[in-house]
Amino acid sequence: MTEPSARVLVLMTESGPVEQLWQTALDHARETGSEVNVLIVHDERWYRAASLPFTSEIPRLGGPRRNFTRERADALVGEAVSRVRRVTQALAAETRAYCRYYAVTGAMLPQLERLVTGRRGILVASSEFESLPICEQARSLSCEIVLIDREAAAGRAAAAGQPD
Amino acid sequence: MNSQPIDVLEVPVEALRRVCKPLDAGAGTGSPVRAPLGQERAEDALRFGTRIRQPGYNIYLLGEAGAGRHRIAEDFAGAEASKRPVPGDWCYVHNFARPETPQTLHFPAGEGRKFRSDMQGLIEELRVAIPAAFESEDYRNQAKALENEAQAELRKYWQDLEERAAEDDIGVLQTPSGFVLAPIRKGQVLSEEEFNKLPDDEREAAQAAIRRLSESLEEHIEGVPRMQKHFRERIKALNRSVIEHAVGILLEDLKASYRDQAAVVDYLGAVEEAIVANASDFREQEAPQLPFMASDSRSLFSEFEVNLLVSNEAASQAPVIYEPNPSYQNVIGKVEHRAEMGALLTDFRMIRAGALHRANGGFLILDAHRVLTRPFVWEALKQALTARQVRIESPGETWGLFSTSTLQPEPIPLDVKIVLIGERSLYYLLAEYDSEFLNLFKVAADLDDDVERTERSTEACATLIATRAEALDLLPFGGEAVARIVEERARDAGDSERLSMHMRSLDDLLTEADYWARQRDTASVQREDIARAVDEQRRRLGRVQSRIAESIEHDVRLIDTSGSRVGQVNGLSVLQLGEASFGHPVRITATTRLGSGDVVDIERESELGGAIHSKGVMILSAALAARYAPDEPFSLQAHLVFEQSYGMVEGDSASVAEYCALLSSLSGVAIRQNLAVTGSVNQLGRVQVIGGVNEKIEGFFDICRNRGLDGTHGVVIPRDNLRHLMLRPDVVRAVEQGEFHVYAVTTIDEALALLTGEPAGERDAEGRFPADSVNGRVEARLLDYAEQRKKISAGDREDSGD
Repeated sequence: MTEPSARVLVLMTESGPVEQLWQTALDHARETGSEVNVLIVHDERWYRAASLPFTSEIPRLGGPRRNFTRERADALVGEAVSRVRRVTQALAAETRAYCRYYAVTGAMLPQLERLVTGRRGILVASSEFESLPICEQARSLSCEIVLIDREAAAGRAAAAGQPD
Repeated sequence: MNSQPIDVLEVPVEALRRVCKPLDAGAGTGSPVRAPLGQERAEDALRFGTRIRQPGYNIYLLGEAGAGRHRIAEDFAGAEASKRPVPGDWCYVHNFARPETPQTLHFPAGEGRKFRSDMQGLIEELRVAIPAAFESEDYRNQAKALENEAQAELRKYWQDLEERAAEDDIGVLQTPSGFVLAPIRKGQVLSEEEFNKLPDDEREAAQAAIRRLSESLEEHIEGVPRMQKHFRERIKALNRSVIEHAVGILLEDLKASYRDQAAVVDYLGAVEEAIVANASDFREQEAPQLPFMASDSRSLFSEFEVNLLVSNEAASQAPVIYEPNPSYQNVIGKVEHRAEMGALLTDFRMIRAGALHRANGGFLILDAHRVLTRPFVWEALKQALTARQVRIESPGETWGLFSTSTLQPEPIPLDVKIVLIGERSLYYLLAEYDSEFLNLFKVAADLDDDVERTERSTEACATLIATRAEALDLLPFGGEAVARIVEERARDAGDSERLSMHMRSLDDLLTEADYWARQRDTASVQREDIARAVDEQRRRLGRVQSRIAESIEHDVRLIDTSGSRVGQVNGLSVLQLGEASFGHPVRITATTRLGSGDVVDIERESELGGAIHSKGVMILSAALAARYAPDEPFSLQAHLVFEQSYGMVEGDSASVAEYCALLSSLSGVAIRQNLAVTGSVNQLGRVQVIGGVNEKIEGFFDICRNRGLDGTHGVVIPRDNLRHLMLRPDVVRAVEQGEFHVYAVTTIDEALALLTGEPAGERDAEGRFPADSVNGRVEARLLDYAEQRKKISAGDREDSGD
């Protein structure tokens, strides 16, 4: 089996235009004969907040506060990653495509270099992530950055009768 | 005791069977015969019982099976029911206040179905009107406005909170289950490292702000349920006003049409309240996640359906119900259940009426034996009659055997007359052992098994025959045939002066005679068809009788029908096997010797003799001692036996025969074997009436005829039995031709003279029987025994030295 000459990466979060991001990444993957690599971006805020000794979680339904710990942040991140992964898996099944998953933070990307070194790299992301360090890093590795405008994507989905 | 000449004792031919002159059956009355003729007492009781309205005056109709009891009960109840108004309809509806106790509604006859239909129509309209009301633009706008208002309130709070937090450089982070407040700078949450780099006062300020904001947030969270509740209440009020409007219009017309029935109007009010109170339930539901979670809108509206328990819509009079299978459920009613997801569920729609409900306002006819043998029915029936209401409960619950979640429907007032049909023995048992019985069944209608045979009753019998023939769709019956049937009714009654009122056997005879007439291709039933039907009935049931006759003919069972024997007499016995009853001769023998005054009944000693038979033997023993040895010790030991009898012997009808056998043995005078004798005897030697006289005579006649009648054969019967003679025509014919004889006796001496062919002998002026008479020889033998006994006793005393 020969390694593909290109690597398509798509940045996913819970709040992004998932379908448009997926479709764009899939289009590029098919065009280049490669597969989609889903990079699920952690929300680093939880870890930051959990690192503070005085933060606590106030239950939405009332009751005593709970200390907001690293374990709680892990759980929140894990749940978010699972949700995104489930959505993406459904899309992959629907479009009969294969993909790989990587959980990453917005600030560090140790795997990025391994993924794109020696290949053509294409990074698909929501425009709101343009300022994330990962985008900057991708540029430094000569990746093509394909940004999806969240609001424009929402408008296209509405016009097509699809849910936002 | 005076003896009569033999020819005087012979029964004249015309007394052997009271024939009936030909009768014109005419046409049937066209109307049901209320009761068989001659049942005035039962008729009066039934008339009284069906008309009296006070509680407790229920009727017990006593009579044997086949007496036409059901038809009589239905006719009398029907006659009274036709004068009574049609009772109303009963419905069960949902009880909104106490769902476990479904509510009753009473309507005039036919109105129940209309109400059910009206409610069904209402449901159909509600099914459309309620979702439509919620789908209206106006409702949606109002609901949306309320929702927006609530959301705006919430949004404003969060906005305020975030603004206040932002002023203190605090960020509000939302987790799936709550909120986290953390210090921020330039929109980024500070890590511990970054936070520690802040000046002390900023760190303290940040922590203080977080504490303050947290408290505010918690206060707000505590208030959120109140806000939500307030929102829901407003939505509910909106729903209520929408549904009140939609339902009110629909129910207004319905209430107006039932305004005269307060209970119905109240119920409709409860329906309206229930719909309004549960308004949101009636909106079209979203598809459930799982099929079994589907809440069909039909089931939501099912509470407003009507269970029409009893409808008298089609009735033109009060009901007369006969319940052939009076099980608890069939009489009291039941609550059915349906299995759903492994559970047994029920509701008011599954309440089913029992016979008491259907007969309410009229008559309910039940078979006593069946009522008493079906579990729990008798107690439940008495309870219903005592309480004058019928309460549907499962027997298990009533008796505390088990408890399942079920309904306790409101009881229904009961105004019913029970006609219980049963045998006399059951009536007397109930009267004896059930203290409530006579309080609840005050009217006993006792049907006679037979009636006096008069000209009037005979004519009425002819009318009855025509009526039954018409009802059974039979050929017309000729006058001779009717006369023959009347004679058979007398024969069935076992009395020439009475007529049997057993209706089933009458119907059977008519039906079978019709069959034989049709076999002959005739247009009407004639006398010969009746005779054929009677003969065929006897033949069908005559297997045992034939076997006995064969065994006698082949000398397996020893019966002499000629010659004379000492101490041996032909008695007569009757066997009753099911509906077959027939007589046959039985040899009775007696042996005598010196003894201490015992007449040993071998049947009793071998435990084959019944109490009445034993009593008869004791009586004849006493009669013997009193007549022949009044002044001497009764020094006889005698043994009496029914030869070749291996079953129970009961009754005292052989006591004349046994007496004669004893006298023959004592006197040494032989007894004619061409005669058979039947009759009981008292202590004074008077011959008394016995049962089954016709069967007994015919039984001996058949044996003699098989062996050849020579003009000497005959039967000796009690004179008191003359009225019971209804002998078969062939027997009568044989007597007429001098081939067979029937003798009637009043005293034992008459019987003895007939059986021995010698004068019995009467005491002379000195109180002595003629020495050569039978009685004289008996007396001489007994005195001889007494003398011998005295000598033996004297010898014993000398031997003992006294």
